[in-house]
This record gives sequence, C-alpha cells and structure tokens, in this order.
Amino acid sequence: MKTLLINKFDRIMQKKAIIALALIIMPLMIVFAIFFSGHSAAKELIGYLGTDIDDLPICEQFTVAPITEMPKLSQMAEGIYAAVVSKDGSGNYIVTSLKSDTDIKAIETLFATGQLPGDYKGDDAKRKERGIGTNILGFITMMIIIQGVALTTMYPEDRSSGAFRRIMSSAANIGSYLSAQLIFTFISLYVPTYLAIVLAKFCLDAELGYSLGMLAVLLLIITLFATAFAIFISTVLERNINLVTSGISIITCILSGCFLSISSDNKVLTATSNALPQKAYMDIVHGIEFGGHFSDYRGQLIYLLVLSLIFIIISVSLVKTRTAKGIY
Amino acid sequence: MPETIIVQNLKKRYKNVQAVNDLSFTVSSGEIVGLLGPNGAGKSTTINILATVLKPDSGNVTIAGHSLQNGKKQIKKLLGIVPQDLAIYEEISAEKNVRFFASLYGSYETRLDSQVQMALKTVGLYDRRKDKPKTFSGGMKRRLNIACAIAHQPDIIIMDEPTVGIDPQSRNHILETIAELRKKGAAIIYSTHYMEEVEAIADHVLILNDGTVIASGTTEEICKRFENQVTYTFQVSTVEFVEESNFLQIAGVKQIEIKDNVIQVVADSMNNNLNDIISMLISNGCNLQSMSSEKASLETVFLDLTGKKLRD
Amino acid sequence: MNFFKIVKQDFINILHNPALIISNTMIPLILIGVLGFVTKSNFGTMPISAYDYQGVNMLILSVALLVAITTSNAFMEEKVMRGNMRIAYAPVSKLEMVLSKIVSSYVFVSICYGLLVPFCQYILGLNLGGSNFLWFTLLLNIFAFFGCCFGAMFCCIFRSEEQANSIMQIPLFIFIFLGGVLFRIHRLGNVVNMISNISPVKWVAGCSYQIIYDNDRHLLLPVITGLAALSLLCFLVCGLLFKPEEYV
Repeated sequence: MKTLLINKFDRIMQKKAIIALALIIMPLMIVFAIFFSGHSAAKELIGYLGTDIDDLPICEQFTVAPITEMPKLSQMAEGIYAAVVSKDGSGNYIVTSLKSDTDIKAIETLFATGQLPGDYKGDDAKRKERGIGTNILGFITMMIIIQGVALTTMYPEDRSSGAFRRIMSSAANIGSYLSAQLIFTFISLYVPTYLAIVLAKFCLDAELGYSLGMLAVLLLIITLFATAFAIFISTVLERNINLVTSGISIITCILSGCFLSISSDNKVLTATSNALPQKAYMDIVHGIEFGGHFSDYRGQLIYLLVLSLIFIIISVSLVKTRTAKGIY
Repeated sequence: MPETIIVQNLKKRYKNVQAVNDLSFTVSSGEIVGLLGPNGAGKSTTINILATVLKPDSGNVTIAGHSLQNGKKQIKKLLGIVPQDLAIYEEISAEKNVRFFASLYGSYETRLDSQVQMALKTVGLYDRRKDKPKTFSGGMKRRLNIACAIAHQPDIIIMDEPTVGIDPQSRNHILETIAELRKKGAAIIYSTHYMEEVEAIADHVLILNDGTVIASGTTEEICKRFENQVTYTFQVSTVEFVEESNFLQIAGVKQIEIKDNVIQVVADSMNNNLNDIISMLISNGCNLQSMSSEKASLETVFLDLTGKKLRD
Repeated sequence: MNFFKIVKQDFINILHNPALIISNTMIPLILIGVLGFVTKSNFGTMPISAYDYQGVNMLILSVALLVAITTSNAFMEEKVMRGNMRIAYAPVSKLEMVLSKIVSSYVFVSICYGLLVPFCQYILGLNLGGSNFLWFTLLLNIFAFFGCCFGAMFCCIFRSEEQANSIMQIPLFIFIFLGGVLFRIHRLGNVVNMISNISPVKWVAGCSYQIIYDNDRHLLLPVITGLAALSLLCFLVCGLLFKPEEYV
C-alpha cells in the first residue's frame, strides 16, 4: 500500500493543473470565502420616495435613504433596493418590495413607529444567527465534495489505461489499492484546506467561529465523508464524473442548508433534506458553534460515519465484482 | 509503375532530437513499402508528415503530383490513414463509423453505401455492421480501424502498425486485405515491427534508424547483403572454460554470444570455418550436444544494422 | 460540406451521452425547484416570486456552468477523442475541427434551453418576461455560444477534458459568484461591485432582469456584442493553440 500511495503522489506532481487547483486556487477561494463571511456586508437599503419626512427612521438592519424616483423592478431584483417606501394620500406608508409579507409588514412598522418589531429578523440577522463558522463550513463542504472527485482522477485513469488490471494481478489487492487512493484523496483535500483556514486566521485576522483545533476536527469529519463519496462516485461512474458530481454537490448542498437555513412545512422536502449527509454535518457544525458538544450529535456523527463506510463497502464490492468479471 | 509518393531530403527536428534526417524514398502505385525501424527511428514522424498533419523542417514531398507545401487538401483526399491507436467511435455502429469517415473524403452520397459495404466486407465485418465497436474484440476493432481508412477507396494508404495486439486469424485477414488493396493499384506504406509481415507482403523494404534509411530494397536484396552470414547455434555441456576472444580470432567469425549453455556464433560462411569453430569448442572444454545453423533473415539483418541496444 | 457532416456526427455523439442530456435539461429545473423552495420565505408572491427569481438566475447559472463542460466533453471526452482526432487526417482544416465542436454543442444546448425557457414560462408558470421571453431566450442563446467557445478554449489549452473541466470550473464559479445569481453581492462593497463587472454572468443577469421586469431591452445589444467579442477571443485562442499533430 505504501508503494501505491507514493505512486499516487508521484503521479499527481505531473498533473500541474490539478496541483494548482488543489494547492493554490482552492485555498484562495476558501480564504476569500472566509474573508467575505467575516466582513459584514452593507446594510440593506430602503429608499424613501418623497420629501415629507424630516427624519428618516434609523435601525440596525436597514439603511433608509431618500430617493427622487421609483427604482426599476430590475434594480430591486438585483438587490440594490430591498424596498421602496412612499406615502399615499391618506398618510399610510406603502411598501414596494420583493420581500415576503413579514418583511413588508416589519418595514411598515419601522416607518410608522420608528422601530422594527422586536421579534423581526432580516436576512442579515438570520445569516448571523447561522453563525460565521457555519457559513464558512457550508461553503467548504460543497467545494470539498467537488474537489474530492477531481483529486481521485487517477483511479478512473488507472482503470481505463489498464494499469488497474496490472496492479490487481500483482501482490497488491483491491483493498490496498483503494486504501491508498482513500489516504491520498484525504490528505490532498485536508491539508491544503486546513492550511488555507489557518492562513486566513492569521493573515486576515478572520473570525472563524471556532478554534483552530475544533475546525481541524470538523474538517476531518467532512473530508472523510467527501473522500468516501469521491471513491464511490468514481467507482460507479465510467464517464462524466466531474459533471455529475458538480450537479449532485450543488443541489444536495443547497437542499441540506449549506448556504441558507431551510425550514419548511413540506414533509417531503424536510425528509429529503434530513436524509442528506450534509444536513447532518451542518447540524453538527451549527450546534458546536453555539456551544454544543459532539456527544449531543451522536446520531449525526454515526450517520456520517456509517454512510461513509457504506460508500466504501459498495465501492470495494463493485470493484471486486467487476474485476472478477474481467471488466477492468 | 508511376511513382505516387516521392520523398526527397526530408528533415524534422524535435528540440534536441533529429527525428527525420535527410530521408528520401519513393512509393509506386500497386506497391507495398514496408517501413521497419526500432522505436524512435522516425517512422511515425515520417507517416505524420506524409499524412500532412506535421510540417517538415525541410525537404520535398510530392504525393500524386501534388506538393505537400501547396496541395495539402488535394493530398488528404487521396490518402487513407490507419493510425496506430484505434480511432473509432465506440458508441455508434461499425457501419456508421465507416460511413462518417468515408464521407469526409468527398464520396458522393450515392456511392457511399456501396463503398461502406465493400470496406466492411473487405475487413470481414459486414455481418457485424450494425453492432457497436464497444462490443468488439481487439482484432475486430483493428479491422474496423482499417475499414474507416479504405472505404473512400484512396489511392494511397498509410498504415501505422495496424496489427498490434491482435490474434493470428485477424492478422492474417488484415494482411490478405492489404494484398488485395495492392492488386487494386493502391500505393501502400506499411509500418510495423513484425518482420514476418514485411517478408510476407512488402514489395520493398526501408529500414530506418535515427531518421535515415540505412537499408533499402526487397527482402531478398537486403538479406543478400548478408547472404554469406550464417549463425551457428551450439548446445554444449558447459561454458565454464570458454574464452570469447579465442573464437573471434578465427577468420570470418564476427560475433559470439554465450547464454547459459548455448553458444551462438555469427560467421562468414565463405571462410569455411565451421571445423575451426568446432575444434575451438572442444579445446575450450565444451562437450558438443547439438548444433544448428541459420542463414541471415530479415530479423538478423535488422538487428545487425540497428544494433541490439534497447531504444527509448 | 465536410463541416456539416462533422457537426452532425458530433451532435450524434453528444446524444449518446446521457449525462449531458440530463445536465442540460433536468439540472436547471431541479435547481429552480430547490432554490425556489429554499428561498420562498424571503420573497412575496408579487411582483416576483421566489420561483420567478430563481428561474431566471438558475437558467443563467446552468448555462454558465454546464454549457462549457458540455463542449469540452464533446471535444475531448475519452470515448470520442480518438475518433475526433482522426478527422485531422481528412481534408478538414483545424479551425473546422474546433468550430464543429463549438457549433454541435451550441445546437444541442440551444435546443435544450430553447425548450426549457418556454416550458418554465408556460408550463411551470414562471415569469420569464411573458411576451419578452424570446428576448431572454436569445440572450441565453448567445451566452450559451460564449460558453461553448469558452469550453473549447480550455480544451485547447489543457489538451485533456479532465484537466480542462477541473480548471475551468474555477473561473466559472468566479463568474457565477460575481454575477450575483447564487447570492446577491451588491452589498459586499464598491470594490467587489467594480470587480463584478468583468463577469459575463453579471452582464447577462443584469440585462435579463431589465428585459423581464422592466420591459427594457437597451442593454441587449451591448451585452450580445460583448459576449460575441469574448466568443471571438476564445475562438482565436483555440486557433492559435490547437495543434492536431499533438493528438495523433
């Protein structure tokens, strides 16, 4: 297995594009993600159409500014204006916005009373509630799953070139080959990602939401899962591996709340979301960020571990069957 | 026979390597020229230049009256290339593969059907024409690879190691196919490592080494250069006391190779030195158990000319 | 004439790749559904619902991400690459070889998105501009052409589908991020807003919103011109870098 592992590292050094991706571009993207997560965006802008208010309301969640003409709907779609408020003939405030009824009512209250309702939380507040660390790890989760498959590229390559068959006919067996591939993918994913996080912490003085030690552990969990998934998908599929993985990764990460918290009354969606391993992971990271312990999330941890094991077992089983049939 | 391909003083360099070095030869219609050479001799480079995908550094190439510099498109229409690697689409049927590649050479739609049929029958794949190459054996894929090159009935066919890794039946079929194509008047360049193939079908042989032709002629003509060369193989009881230098002192002995208890001596038969060689064996303590002799073959000539040293 | 034969064959090769068909038909719909649902609580129902908004954004994102990968697949995917490169021996110029891959994948994605947009508009009931949906479709179409040229360019640079796809995803994700179609970046500051102007996704998104929501097409011609110019640039790079002799 040691020989196989060294072989993987030797070979990846020749794939300069993949090296650049893993060691430079991905870490840079993670640094940027951490930077943007930590830096507060400007407050959402509400335009007031009219000159009949001397003191526009001030609040933590919105910036209110006077405007002289009604913005276009496209500007509201782009997010330039969260809402536009004007007064009708009877002195009632009319709020024009793409936001939900709750948000519109809250803005009406802001103008009517000078304050937002006490229990109101805007998008930014909800995002802050999620936690900086959760947001960062949510983004990293998607990137790691996609990148994991890219780093497993030598495995399908070996199969198609015939090298895999050659290795199987040697003293090495399927277990040692896949173990070497697992270890290689894991190290190539984990080390640059963690170093990028450390770099962001010390160079940008970024707020990570966790200690470096805790991040190391949390990253370990998702990297293990991503590695197992990468081996699985590379075993099952013969072609278009990157394309399929990108699609699966984006959709399942969104559904599992990697970017936005999801709460829904829809039973099907809730069940689907809960079944996704990324959801289990996001529950763990969110809980840990807000003072929980790993023991509180035993179920989620076991689920992730078991699913990873299932991926590996299926991979080994498939490879054994296909090798025995002479497909490789 | 009119000269279809005329190559004069062709040169091509890759960084530090002179891949083709002042190469000149001709190929006529209805002729098969076998291109032999160790790895790195310049065969594939020469083929790719003739196929117009690679630009030479200097030299003249005329194919069917068209110059390589000005008549690329016309030349391409006349060529059929069988690349070394299988270049077919695995997901579409054999028939569709052949039809597609043939259609690129300007075959009229009305003739295409018959051309495709002819090509598939020639390579023995007509019964499997509706099947996809991913279901084919290696030999069948190689035959399909050839069918894609000959369907448009080119005047010139260039084959780069078309029989690599296939079974003897498929190989035999391919060689018969090539002989048929020659009968129809095609000029064929056939690159291979297999001496017996060249001996079987080539009218003319070029042995390349380091980018130049080091021997040229029919198989008989090339072997004639070494017609007096004979290789004696002796099975002896022991080689413990054998001194190679003793044998090399015998007039006409060119080379001696000792492996296990087998001694091979390459000698010039004109010197009538067999008795001297046997005497030397006996005086070196070898108990002669058996003996055989072999006149120069294309393989021995090839190894002699190009050397036995391993190539890159 | 050869050119159209090659385009036809490339198109057939694409149809033999189910992953490409599913990606360019199902994935946009799934993304619209998923993101629309997930962001439902952030939107009202009028004048733009979450599904309307995500419909526009996810179609743009799908074109941005998937079209380039479709082309690189059509060009140099392992199963078709050897057959594709055999064409170098035929009386076909190298530019025709590259252009055929761009055109075949462009025809394919044009059909996919040409069907998807009216499907979303009239069957799913999303607001994609109503009577203006044809302009939105045209914009997506030109954007798809740029995506095809972009994918071909990366193949010519990296000479392998696997490397091209791996590296290409980075600028694509950067364009998507700066384009604001995954999440709005307008409030991330002036510097980010300035940098975001380099993203073709931003041009297309901004123009799309104006066409669909403001019935304003004044950005259409400049954006199409910009995309056409970028497409030409990508094609020129292909012309310079693509050398058939390196693949035979």
